[in-house]
Amino acid sequence: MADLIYILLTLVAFGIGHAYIAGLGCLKGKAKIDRD
Amino acid sequence: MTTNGWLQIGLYFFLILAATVPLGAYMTKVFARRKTFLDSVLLPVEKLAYKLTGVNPDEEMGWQSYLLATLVFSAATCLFTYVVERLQFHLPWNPQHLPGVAPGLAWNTAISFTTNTNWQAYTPESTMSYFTQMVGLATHNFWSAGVGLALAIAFIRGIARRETTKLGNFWVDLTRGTLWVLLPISAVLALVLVSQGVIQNFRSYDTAKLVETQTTTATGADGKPVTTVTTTQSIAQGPTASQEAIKMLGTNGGGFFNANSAHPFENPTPLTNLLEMLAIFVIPAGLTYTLGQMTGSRNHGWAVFACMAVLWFAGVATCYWAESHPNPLLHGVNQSVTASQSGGNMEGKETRFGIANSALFAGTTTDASCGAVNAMHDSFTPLGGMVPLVNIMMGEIVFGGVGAGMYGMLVFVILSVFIAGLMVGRTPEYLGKKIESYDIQMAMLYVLIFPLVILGFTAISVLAPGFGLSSLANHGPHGLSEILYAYTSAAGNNGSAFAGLNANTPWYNTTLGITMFMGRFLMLIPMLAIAGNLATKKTTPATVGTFPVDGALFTTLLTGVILIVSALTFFPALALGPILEHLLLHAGHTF
Repeated sequence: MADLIYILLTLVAFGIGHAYIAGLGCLKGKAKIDRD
Repeated sequence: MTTNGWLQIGLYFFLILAATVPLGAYMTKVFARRKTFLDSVLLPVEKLAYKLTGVNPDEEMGWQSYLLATLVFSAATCLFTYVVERLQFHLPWNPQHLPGVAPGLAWNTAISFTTNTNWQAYTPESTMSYFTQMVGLATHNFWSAGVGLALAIAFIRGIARRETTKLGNFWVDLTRGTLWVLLPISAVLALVLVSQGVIQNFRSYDTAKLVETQTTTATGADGKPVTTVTTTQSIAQGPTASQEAIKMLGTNGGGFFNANSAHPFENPTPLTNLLEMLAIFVIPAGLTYTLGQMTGSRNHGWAVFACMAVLWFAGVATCYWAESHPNPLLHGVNQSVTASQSGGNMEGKETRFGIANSALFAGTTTDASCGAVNAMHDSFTPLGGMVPLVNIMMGEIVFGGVGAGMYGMLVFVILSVFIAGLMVGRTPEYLGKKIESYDIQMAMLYVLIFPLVILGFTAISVLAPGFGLSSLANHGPHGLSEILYAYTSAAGNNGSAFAGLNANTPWYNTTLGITMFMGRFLMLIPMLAIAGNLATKKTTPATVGTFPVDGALFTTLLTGVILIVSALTFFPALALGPILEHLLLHAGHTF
C-alpha cells in the first residue's frame, strides 16, 4: 500500500511539472498577445 | 590562520582557473557536435544509443518539448531507483543480506538522487546493498548531472541563438554530456583514487578484533541496566572509487559511507582531498568559458567567472577565519597553532585535513550543490557553520551544481541587467536581446520558489512538537539552524546536513522529498521558459547606452544583486539561528 502511495505521489509530482510547463506556455502566449 | 593554509587555498583556485579554458572549450565542441579526440571511441556508442532508443539526433526541440523530455526521463529514473531500493533483498551483490529499504526512505532517496541532491537520511553501509549503490545510486549520479549539463547548454543556446524556437535535442545533449564529459573524467579519476587507497571491491564486510575491549551499559526495556561487551568491529567494504569519482564530478555528494569524504576509504590522502575538491568545481567553472564561447562574448564568461570567484573566496575566507578562532568556552585549554596541533575549533574535523582544508572543502561543496563533506558542518562555530548555509541560500550559483549553477546564475544575470536598465531608464538588453516582462516574471518565479519552500516547511516544522521537533536533538538557535539547514540543503539540491536532526521520519522524508522536487523541477521550468523566449528574439547592435555585461562594473552589480536578494530573503532566519547562537556563545551559552 505504501509503495502504491509513493509511486502515485511521484507521478502526481511530475504531472504537476507537466501542467506547470503548459501553464507557463499559456502565460507566454498571453504576454505575446498583450505586446501585439 | 596560517600561510600554509592560505597557500593551499590559493593553489586550489589556481588549478581551477587553469582547467577552466581547456575544459570549457572542450565542452563547447562536444555540445556543438564538433570533432573531439574521443570521437573514434564514443561516436559508435552514441550512434548505437540513438538507434536502440529511436532518437533522431538531428531533430531539435522547443523549450516545452525539451522540458517534457527532462521530466519523463527523470520520472522514469526516479521510479527505477525506488524499485531497486525496495527489491534489493532479492537482487544480487548484497553480501550483507540487507533488507529492502522502507518505502518512505526509498522514495526520499530516489527523489534525492534524481534531483542531484543526494540528501541521505540513512546510513549507507547498513542500508544499501552494493547493487543499489551501483545500479540505483551511482548511475543516477551520472543521469542527474547529465540532465543539469544539458539544461545549462539549452539555456546558453537560448541566449546565443536568434529568431528560432529550438534549443537543441535533450536526448543528444544528455548522451553527449554523459559520454564525452562525465564518463571519461570519472573513469580516470576513479583509477587515480584507487591508486591512493580508495577501495573498490565486492567483498562482504571485514571483521576486526578490537585491541581494547569496549564495555557499554545502557538501560534495557525493563528499566534495568544492560551491559554489552564489544570485542569486534565490522569494517564496511564495497565498490567505492567508481562512485566517489562521479559523486564529486557530478556535484552529487552522496557518500558511499556515512562519514562521506571524511572516511579514509573515500578520501584517504591529501592528494585525494585536493582532487575531490577540484572535481567539484571543474565543470561548473569550465561552463563559464563555454558560455563566453557560445555567446561570442568571452569577456562576459569571464565576468560571470569573476563574480563566482569573489563570492566563493568570501565564503571560504570567512569560514577559515571563524574556524581558526578558539572556542571561548574552553577555558584554560591551549587552542593556539603549534607544530603538533591545528589550533582553533577542531571539533568534527579530521586532523589529517586540518582547518584550512576543512573550511575550503565546506565552502566549495556548499557553493556547488555537491554536499559531500570532509568535516561535520554541525560542529563548526556558529559563524563558520553559517557560511555553508549562506552559500546554499544564494541559490547554488557560485560555480554551482553541474549545469544547475550556470542556469541559476544566468537568471541572476538577467535580473541584474533588468535592474541596470531600470537605473538608467532604458529597456534592458542582454547581449543584444531586449529583456521584457515575461522574462522577468519567469525570473521572479525562479527566485521566489526557493525561499517559499525553505521558509514554509521550516516554519511548519519548528511549530510542530509532534512531528517537527520530536526528532531534533538540539534546542534553541542551533536547533533552528539544523531544521533550516535541512530544508535549505534540500531546496538547493545540495544534500549536506547539520547533524542533530534525525530526518528519517515520515514527516521529514516526505516534506524533504517534496522540497527537493520543487527545488529542482519547479525552478528549472521557468528558467527554460526564459531561454525559449530569448531564443525567439532578434538581436540589436550595442550602442553607447547599452549596459556592458563584460566588465568589472557588471561583475560588481551581479555580485551585489545576488547578495541583496539572498540577504533580504533569509536574514531574519539567519538572525534567529546562527547569528543569535554566535552572540549567546560569547555570553557563555551553548546548545
